Amino acid sequence: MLRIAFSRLGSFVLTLFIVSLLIFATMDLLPGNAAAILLGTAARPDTIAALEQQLGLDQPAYIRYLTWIAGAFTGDLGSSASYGVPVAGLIAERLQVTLPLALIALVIAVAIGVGLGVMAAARPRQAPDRAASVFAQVGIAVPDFWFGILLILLFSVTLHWFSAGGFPGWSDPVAAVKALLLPAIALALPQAAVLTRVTRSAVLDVADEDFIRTAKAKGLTERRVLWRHAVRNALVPIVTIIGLQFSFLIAGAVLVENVFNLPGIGRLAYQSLAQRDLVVIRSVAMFFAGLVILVNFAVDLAYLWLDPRLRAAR
Amino acid sequence: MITQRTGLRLAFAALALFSSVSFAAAKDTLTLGLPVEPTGLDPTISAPVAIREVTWGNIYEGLVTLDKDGKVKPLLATEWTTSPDGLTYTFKLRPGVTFHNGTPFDSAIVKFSLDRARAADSTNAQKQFFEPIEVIETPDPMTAVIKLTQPSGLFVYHLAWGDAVMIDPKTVDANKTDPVGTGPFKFKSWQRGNQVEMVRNDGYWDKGVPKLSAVTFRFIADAQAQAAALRAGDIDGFPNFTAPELFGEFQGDARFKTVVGATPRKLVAALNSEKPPLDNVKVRQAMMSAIDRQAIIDGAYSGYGKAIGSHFAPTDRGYVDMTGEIPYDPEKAKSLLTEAGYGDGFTLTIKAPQMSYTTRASEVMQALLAEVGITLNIVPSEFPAKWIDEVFIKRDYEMSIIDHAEPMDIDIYSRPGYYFNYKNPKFDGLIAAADKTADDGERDKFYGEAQKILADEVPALYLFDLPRLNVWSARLEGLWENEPISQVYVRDAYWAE
Repeated sequence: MLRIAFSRLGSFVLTLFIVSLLIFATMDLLPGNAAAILLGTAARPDTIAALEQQLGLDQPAYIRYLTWIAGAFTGDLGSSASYGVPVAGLIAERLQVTLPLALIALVIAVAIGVGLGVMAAARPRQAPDRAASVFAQVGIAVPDFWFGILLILLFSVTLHWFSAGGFPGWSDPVAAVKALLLPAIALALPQAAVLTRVTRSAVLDVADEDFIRTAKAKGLTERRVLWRHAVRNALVPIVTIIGLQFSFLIAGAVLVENVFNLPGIGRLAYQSLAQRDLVVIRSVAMFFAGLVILVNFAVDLAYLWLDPRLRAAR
Repeated sequence: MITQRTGLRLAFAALALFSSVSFAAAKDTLTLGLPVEPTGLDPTISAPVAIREVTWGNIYEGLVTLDKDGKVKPLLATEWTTSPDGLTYTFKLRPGVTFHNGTPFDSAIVKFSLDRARAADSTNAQKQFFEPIEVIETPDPMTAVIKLTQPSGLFVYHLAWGDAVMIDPKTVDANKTDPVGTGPFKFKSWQRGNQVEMVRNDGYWDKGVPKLSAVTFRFIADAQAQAAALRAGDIDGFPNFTAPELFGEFQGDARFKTVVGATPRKLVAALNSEKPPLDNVKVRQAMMSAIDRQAIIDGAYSGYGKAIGSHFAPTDRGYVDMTGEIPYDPEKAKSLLTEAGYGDGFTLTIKAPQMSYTTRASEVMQALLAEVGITLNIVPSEFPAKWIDEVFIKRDYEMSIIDHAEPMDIDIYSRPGYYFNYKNPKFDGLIAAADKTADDGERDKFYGEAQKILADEVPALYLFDLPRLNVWSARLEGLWENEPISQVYVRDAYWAE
């Protein structure tokens, strides 16, 4: 198992390197530059040139790439052209919003999705299954930011239970979690819907297997058969989807962050792209890519742990 | 099932806890929403409007300022005199003024601030304002003498802009993130992506102001989120509400005061005067005749906004209503096109930024131009990045549309290499003459003639003056309704009893 883990780690590092090249090249090809944007429609060419020099935009591409990569190893990702503060700190600040948001959303999505899915599979084509299927239809059809708007209208504008957006910071953890709750629900519902479907069909797939019949024949309770035998064996597809969803939740947070006006990493990505703040955007993009690769890596390891047969395969 | 029920009960208990909000008695703090987060907080090194909205007159102050009608008023200079040749300005400075960090304000500060703005490596977005300066002399700490190489009629007016605020040499490098000025509010914190907090400057030179103890600017880009934050009471007002289609909902609501103010932001559709057939003045006049400005105001801004006929805003000094020069007349447009040899029409591409009002205005123009046989293709051009690159710098476009936010900026049509590609020596002469005269009445006359030339020759289609849609709490007083310059000036704001 260790050997497999190490070979996966090797491809993890190689992928990161290729991705870093791709990100740098695409960002560099984008039309527009930060200096011209910051100086607006009154600026003259010599003023723009002066700012380009200050921001280091006049250096050749390979020097800027090497500076970036070398800096990444020491934690110095450069300074944002528009904010004027270090990029590493900027990303760290934003992660304090987006990571908890994605985690809360993931917990909600798993709780609802796996719960409803198993419930539906336990009684196929009966009322609970029908209800779960309606939920899944609606959840998949309605985008998360629209759920967000509906939640704001109900809980903030009408009931005044929550503020309509913004983030108070972690100095008051209760207020912080409260600010993340509605957006997390909005973010979680579509993912919960997907997970409901996947869980239902994965559990139904194993329901006809011989070992289930054996378990039933042993006289185990229905609940024990369901959770211990059916769900346990349906976990591989479910974990795959959860892994994919975590990346979606981080990246997909950009719309929900916008609706709830949260200072998360999604909005940082959007803003710095609009401002052509390349120093920021390439590190944010790299972070997204690294995270997706890391989660896939973790899911791979989870397979090995969940399914002993995969361990024996090598 | 028990666990589920307990869970529900817990959730409701938590919600009930959250909903018990306490209200403070006498309110002396203010939270305002703004659509765009500033990029840095130093207006002397970059252009974005959002920097000025947060800092102009609140954190930083200049020698002079503008009042709510756009008139120049003393601020850190108490008075000034101009020599008869218009080349020497002598400013008497206000005594007893200190920066937030304790640095005293004197003539050396004036010299430093203005010399920095015109230096070779300056990145001041309006560097040309400071170009006429020859030397700044400081005969004594409370007197600054500015000598110009040539008369500059708007020199003192431009000193009221954010680009000309007074800066402490010690905080030059830090101002972008930790601004220090002489203003009524001191910078407290900037939670990036969310808000900037300011607190009262207890050492402010004008005793008795500001009345508020703290002001927070919260940045909310999404129009729905702006409306929701107002209705939920998260913010006390939105002085520059960006969703005209949602503005009406607040107009009947007694909790809010809604005012449609005027701004210097002119929505104009540039016609590249070097690209045929737009090099033909008759074609440009025909296009202007084909435009029903009211239809564009209705379609792009829900009917708010004032039609303009030239590149001057109603808030600008010397404004003349030029909408009558080329009124909406599709028949006239067709005959002009025939005269120009385009009786069968032609096809044109507009590079339109993604903002909702520029997109919608482009669509209305597309329909109006189709009536006279002109086919308009709309191609999106991401603003600011792509638009500045391809339209503004490379001038690679036929037609485009953008709002020009600077007040009194008609001179851009005489700047060589400016993106309209418009050339008219007579116009250039008027702008030069207006720039040189120190007499306000004389200058108004020159600007009036310049406005008429643009209205007649149509280097751009003049559409409308963007409104400032103010929504704020019914008890809030002292904010400016109009926008003689980009501002959210909170110095005089207070809560009525």
